[in-house]
Amino acid sequence: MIFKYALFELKLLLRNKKNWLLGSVLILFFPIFFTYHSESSPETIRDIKIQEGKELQNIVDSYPAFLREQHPKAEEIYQLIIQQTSLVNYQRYYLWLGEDEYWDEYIENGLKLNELRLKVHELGNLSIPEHVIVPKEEIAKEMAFYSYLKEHQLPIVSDPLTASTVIPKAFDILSGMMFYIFILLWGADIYLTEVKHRSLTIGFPLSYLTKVNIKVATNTVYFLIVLLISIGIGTLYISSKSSVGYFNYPTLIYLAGEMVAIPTFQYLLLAGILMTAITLFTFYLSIFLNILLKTSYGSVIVGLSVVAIPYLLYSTGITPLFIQPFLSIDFSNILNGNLAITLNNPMIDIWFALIWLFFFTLIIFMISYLKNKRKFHSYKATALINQEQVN
Amino acid sequence: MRKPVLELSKISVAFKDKKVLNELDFTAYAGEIIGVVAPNGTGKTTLFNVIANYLKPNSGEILFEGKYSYRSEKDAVSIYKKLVSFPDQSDLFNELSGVDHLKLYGNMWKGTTNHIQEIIDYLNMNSYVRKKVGTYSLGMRQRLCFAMMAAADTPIMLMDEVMNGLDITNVKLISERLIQMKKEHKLIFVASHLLENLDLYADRVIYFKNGQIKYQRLNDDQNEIYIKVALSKDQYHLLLKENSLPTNHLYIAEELLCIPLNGMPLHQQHQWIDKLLHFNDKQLTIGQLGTVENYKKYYFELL
Repeated sequence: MIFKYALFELKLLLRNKKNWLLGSVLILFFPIFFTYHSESSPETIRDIKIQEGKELQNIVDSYPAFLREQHPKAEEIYQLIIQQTSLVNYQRYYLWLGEDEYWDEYIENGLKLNELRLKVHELGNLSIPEHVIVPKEEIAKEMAFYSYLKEHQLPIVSDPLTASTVIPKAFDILSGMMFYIFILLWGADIYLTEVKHRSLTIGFPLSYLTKVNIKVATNTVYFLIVLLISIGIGTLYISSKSSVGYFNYPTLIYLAGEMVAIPTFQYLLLAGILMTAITLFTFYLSIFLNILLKTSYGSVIVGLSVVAIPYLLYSTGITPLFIQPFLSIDFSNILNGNLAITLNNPMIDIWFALIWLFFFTLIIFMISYLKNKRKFHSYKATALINQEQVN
Repeated sequence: MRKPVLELSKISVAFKDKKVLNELDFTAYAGEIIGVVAPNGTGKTTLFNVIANYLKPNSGEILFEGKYSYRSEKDAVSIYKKLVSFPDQSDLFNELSGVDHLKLYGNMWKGTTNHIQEIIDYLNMNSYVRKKVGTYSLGMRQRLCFAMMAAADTPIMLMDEVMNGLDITNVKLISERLIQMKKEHKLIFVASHLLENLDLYADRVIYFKNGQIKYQRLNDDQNEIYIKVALSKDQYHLLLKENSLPTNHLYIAEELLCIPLNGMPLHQQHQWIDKLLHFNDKQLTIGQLGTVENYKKYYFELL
């Protein structure tokens, strides 16, 4: 019976024009993002290395001579910067010669470069302009990246427009409020069929929780299938315009206070897990709001405010502790560690987000459950149907 | 002894100051069709909503099969497995076909759709049932709602205004199907304004007034037989002046004279028929008081 009810729910979903529209938007998102991204001339590794070289050369040129004479530390920093400049220039040279041929040298130079950057940090970055100091987190990222390439003998991909590079970047754009609003719209009327077709569905021999769970499950599965199709179509489109790239190429995630390099496909999988958790939370919230407000508009607006208010505070720089769990919907910035760094909380990683999303979902689930349970223990005249339907 | 399928005890429902059901006691058994009769706004639908737990009573208890009540969700689900309510036409899914609706009800309650085609054939729905419900007329929708009940095939059925908007052919078809369902030992409640139609299949007809059952008529051979004739007020008074009418005669809603025949000698019965034919030779019948007569008696007279 549960399976048959799920099939019926799916049938309704497939006939829901709004979901078809949202699905089409999602399917078009990845090709549109690729077109936009390719036209905005994304930085290649060569561009990055040229920029790094210029910045290091500027430091060398402008480093005060008197300071070097007076402070041995300053002299040491100066020498380290010169070495860094040399390493970066060699990296540029290797890229020019062909990254495959000089792969070992390129990687070793990269690792050495970051070791030297750390040393400069240890020496206090004396007289180095703030804007050119590479933060420790960035150094950690790069080291993890080079180590991963070395360990897994992976090539250096200099093309920024491969599918394996563009899809994670598209996820970055999708992450946060955009994704949350998308799911809110998707689930705006998730329980309203029960309200609009009440006399037809109210007497189904299923418990409230069974109904709710089936609705959430079918909507989530349907949405995830649409998302997978979108990624698939996006990958095919990008591959036809550029190349697939390497889905085992390293992507960095922030985990338990450290930067860890993982293959891109694993990163996408983790992002998928977080997106599923966000979807489940949003659908349960939508059901609760549908029951409470009985309108899809109301559900979207209230659902939006739940997360928009903490986001607004965050964007204005007000970051009290209580808003941090609400930012768990920003799966990309959770994974890449940006949130942890910005909020100066090393606890913020995928586990933090999953635990909080689970906790929020559980709270909504419990409120919904208790609200429904009250119907069976209260014998006060509670109209479960519209007053006008009474006679 | 028959065990009741449904027991309502001291059920009260009030909306603000208006008591719609007032300490209502009622018992129903399997294999019964119970007609529920009352003017609009007197609690028929409220009673159905209370039985189906779509509306919580202020007080009282509902018991199914002597063990299930709506005190817990587990019990409610057990009840819902045996009970189905007539859906509102406006609640049908316009974007789905009639077959989709029938399959839904068949699957949800009976766990199969094998019997659906037989229902479609019986109710002559083949020409439209595969089209979207949004294209249906009121009559088509009504037939679909009844077909959904038949597809659910539960032991207890609540049918509110089941004959609304149906033509004579379909009223006949559904009436016959109801009789067939009764033979299958189902308990069926039918609220209807087609009062004469209820006489065809209802075992009991209950009349609501002031939140209580004012009268309950059993449709069996034990009921009193009457000579029934339509008389105007003047004709009635003239008859009363010239004759000594039996004390237990009825003059319903100032338009229908009913003279009881039980215990009356045959020659006296003939005399009364002769006399009454002088007043009205077109509308004289002999029989029990039907739902229509009782309706007039309990609602028009006592208003």
